[in-house]
Amino acid sequence: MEPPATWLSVFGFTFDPFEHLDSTKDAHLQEYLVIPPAVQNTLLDQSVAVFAQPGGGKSALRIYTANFYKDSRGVRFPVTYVPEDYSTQSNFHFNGIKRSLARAAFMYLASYPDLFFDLSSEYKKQLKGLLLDLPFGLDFNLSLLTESRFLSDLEAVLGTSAFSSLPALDRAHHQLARELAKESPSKSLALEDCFALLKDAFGAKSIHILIDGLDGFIETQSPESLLAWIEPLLNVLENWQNKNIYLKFFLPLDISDAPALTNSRYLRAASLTWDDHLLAEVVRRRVFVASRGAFDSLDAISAPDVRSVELTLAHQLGEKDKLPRQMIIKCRNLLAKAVKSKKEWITSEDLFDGESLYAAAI
Amino acid sequence: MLQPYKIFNSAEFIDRDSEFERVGAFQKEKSRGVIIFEGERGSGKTTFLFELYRRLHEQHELRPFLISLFPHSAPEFASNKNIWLNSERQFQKSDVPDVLNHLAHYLEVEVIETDDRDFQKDYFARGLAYRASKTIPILLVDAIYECPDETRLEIEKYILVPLLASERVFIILSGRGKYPIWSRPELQNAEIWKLEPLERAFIREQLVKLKELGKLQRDLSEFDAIVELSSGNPLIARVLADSKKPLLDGLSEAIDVMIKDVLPSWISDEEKLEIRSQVEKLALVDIPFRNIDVEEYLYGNDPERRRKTDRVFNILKASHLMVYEGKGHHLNQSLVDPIRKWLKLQGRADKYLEQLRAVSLRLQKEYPTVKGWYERMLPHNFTTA
Repeated sequence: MEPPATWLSVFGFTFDPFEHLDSTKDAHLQEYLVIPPAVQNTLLDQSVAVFAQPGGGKSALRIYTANFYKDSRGVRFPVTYVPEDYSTQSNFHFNGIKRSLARAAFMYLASYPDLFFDLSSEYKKQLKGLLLDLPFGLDFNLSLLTESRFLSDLEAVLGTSAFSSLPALDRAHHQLARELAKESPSKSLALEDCFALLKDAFGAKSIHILIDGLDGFIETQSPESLLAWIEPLLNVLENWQNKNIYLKFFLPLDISDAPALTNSRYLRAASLTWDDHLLAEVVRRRVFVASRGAFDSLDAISAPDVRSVELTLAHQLGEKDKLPRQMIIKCRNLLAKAVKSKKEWITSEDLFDGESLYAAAI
Repeated sequence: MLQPYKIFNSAEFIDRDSEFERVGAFQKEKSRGVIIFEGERGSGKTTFLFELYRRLHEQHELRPFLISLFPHSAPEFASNKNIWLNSERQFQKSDVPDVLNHLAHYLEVEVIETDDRDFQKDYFARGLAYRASKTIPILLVDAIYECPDETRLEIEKYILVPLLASERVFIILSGRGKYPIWSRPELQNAEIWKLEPLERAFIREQLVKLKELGKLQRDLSEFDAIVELSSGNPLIARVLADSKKPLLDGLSEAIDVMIKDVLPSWISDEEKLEIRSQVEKLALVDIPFRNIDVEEYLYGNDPERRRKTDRVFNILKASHLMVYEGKGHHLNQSLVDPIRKWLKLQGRADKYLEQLRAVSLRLQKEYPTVKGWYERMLPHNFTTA
């Protein structure tokens, strides 16, 4: 049940903080994502495996982490690798990572086009060689550079975000497209040479490969198969760590006790789990951002005898449902109920009678 | 022309030794980090940050850079290259490229050249992120909470975040009221250090220094009263000391400065008076309050009382004089204490207390499950003159 648009202003919100269940569509994620202490080391220079059940916040954390690295302007260079399928071909992962790397490198050049002009001829050739692996082909992407108006157009097509906030694509981008088109590519680079190129040509000090989208694997195959499938990546952890290249796995909870993941010297394992206080914080942060800092609790828009709304909602969730997604659904329903009652605040009836509505929604 | 309390003079500075020591220890123990000094209105955050900058500037291994977001003056820093200070106007979003340019030069950052002026800001920011870490930059930004959101976001995005990409960097900020919405974890999880009111002895020392510098008209015999009325707030002490009015009127003037100086510019003089009056009333409420708790107390049976209360609350929050924390709104304690003293001495508290008592009783009756909470609405240990 969608509440009427005016409810936002009635409650003092500038946007609906409970609109998105899909974090990839949430423009405010960076402002209000709650990162449980157990997984805060995801952002550090090390390889990690983060486990969570569906709806537990893996993709949100992955996007947050990628944005965190992008904020460093590529000093810590993020590459998001979401396997296109679950093929068992040899080198499947490494070819996939190389395509992801090409996409990230292209976006980096689009973010700082003038950087390319000062590079040595050898780096230019190598970059062109790398960019031949771009999805849809290099020619298509170069046409994007000349025909698009904004970086956001490229972001939408390539599915990866920019490193800068250049106001528009301008003549530097056109020149970049021309020079890349003219350049002759080096012979196909090995993946390790591509990593070296990012460091040498762009100045990246570390590279972070974020691996997500594996929940679907578990739906059709056993946890053991998933472990076997990612094994080639586990085998390179040590070698890559020595080169400041780190893998961040976002994995289903089903394999969280696998020794290959928990006993590795080169991989920190952590589970993304939630208790009532963390779930309450999920809501408070969203309320704070949506009210532009005016208040940080639904208590502020509740009747005088209603207190600790967030904790009450978290308590009401069953043990298996103690997840951000379920908490957001509960908040949606609570506000819908309050709006329906035509009062300007949340009453205790709304809070305690919300159970049936919630059950219907899930 | 700037008021005397907006002109920094290190010779007038007093105390805060423990804060300086804490900053020094933090720098020695860690290679990087963000510290935010939070303090209430008039607690001396700006003066402290300017003095901290002055001291850091004397350490050769450090590269401090100060950005002052509100009009202040510091004649002794006039020749410094590592400062952005304007005595005429507030810092604006459009000043960011200029600051980046200064900062890049000061930190000897290599920046990619571009023919597109609009791109330069992003290249400066990239340059900061890739800065070779020969020296340790320390960026100080005063009043970051209080500046408009669009300015703060621009500073965060183009200055703070790129600097934080370095391995060795310190960022020291100050702010009043509720922390803003940060997007970077180092800022979200910054060290928050409170700048507490000064001890009475230091307020007295402040007055003595001003007297020695010939900046004070007040007689020594009034010092004890000023110390008492200031409640440890150096701004109130300073305004009281500068005022030529009798002390009680001087206190009212200081309260005016505390409130009206920070109200948004679009507020009319008439509404400023209205805000002052409602702040006086709110200063007597002893519990964190919500709009619905106090609307009747503020506006009686006025049918527009909800809207009017919302407006007052919005203005006070926009001015960072009031925050929502825990169970409700809190007025800056640095306003509450002097206002209560002033109301008591003026004999104006009785009427307000009577209204507050009536509202408290009604709420207790209407919401019996939280009766104990509303019983505590009236100020504890407050006796009228």
